[in-house]
Amino acid sequence: MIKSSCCILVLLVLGACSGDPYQLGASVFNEQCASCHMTDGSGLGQEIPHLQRKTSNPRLWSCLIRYGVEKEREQQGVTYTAKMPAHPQLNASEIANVINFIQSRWVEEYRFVRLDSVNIWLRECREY
Amino acid sequence: MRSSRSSLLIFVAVLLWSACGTEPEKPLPIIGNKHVEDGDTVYHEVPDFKFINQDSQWVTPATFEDKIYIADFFFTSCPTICPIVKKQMLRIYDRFEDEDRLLFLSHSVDGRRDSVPRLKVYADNIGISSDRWHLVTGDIVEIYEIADDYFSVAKEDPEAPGGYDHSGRLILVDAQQRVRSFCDGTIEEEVDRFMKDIDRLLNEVDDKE
Repeated sequence: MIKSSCCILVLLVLGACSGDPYQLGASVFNEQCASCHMTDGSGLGQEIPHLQRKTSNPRLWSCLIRYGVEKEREQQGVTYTAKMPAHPQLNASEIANVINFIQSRWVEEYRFVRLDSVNIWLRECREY
Repeated sequence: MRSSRSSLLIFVAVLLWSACGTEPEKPLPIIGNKHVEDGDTVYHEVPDFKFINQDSQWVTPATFEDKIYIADFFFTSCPTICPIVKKQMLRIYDRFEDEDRLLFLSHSVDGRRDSVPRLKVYADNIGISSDRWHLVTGDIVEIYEIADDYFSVAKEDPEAPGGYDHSGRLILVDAQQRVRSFCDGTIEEEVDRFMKDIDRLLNEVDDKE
């Protein structure tokens, strides 16, 4: 038990030293998100939301990423009307990874998102 | 020894001369086929057009009289390159904020979704003024055809993301409706170079005045 936790600790430390810990998330972001939200997460005026924020809502994000959104919605005092496309091709693991990447880059206060949480959230998505 | 000293002198003289020389910049090329008519060279020009902008106003070559402009092709629900191109165009728009001789003309290639009200919302969302930047729609076939005259690409394609195939090219047009430069609007360094071309074209206009 102690031995295995040691191993995990070593792996964690190694992982922390090997550059971006969210490489899969980064590649999903660059392929699926960056063309609209920009590689620096700055978005496009009031047409496409930027990603800098104080807190995150990974439950909502999981559903937005998978199913997209068409209706008008407000974020940080700005009303966005443009449609966000759905990404049915992304599996739960890719969604978890991309959320963790976005959080690590642009969100001030966040908690690491686990795959099993994303799986549950995706089953519970309401219509947005 | 003596000869190396004199060659050094010559070298320094040449350096000084080239540093002081205000060699006039070469004008930008005029792009496209040209032919000679009655002894005059006739260059490719963008043909006349009549489109409608985000304020429901007609936009024609008269809108750009005595101005130069940047043209491009896009659509507001484009899921691929358009937002990046628009971001780069906004960089140009901001950099030339006080330059009233430079206008912008963005043609929507999406005749179904990009209505005048939608273009208006988009213009407001990205914070641009219709005094300087026209987002236009109109007869979609005319828009696809005029893309050829700008050496760009715009066409409907159900296979393409969002349903339209178009290029992210930015095209610089002079006051005589002639294409003078272009760049890939998705690449920041290309756009930097393009902005230098805009400066050169503006200087060319200055020299004529």
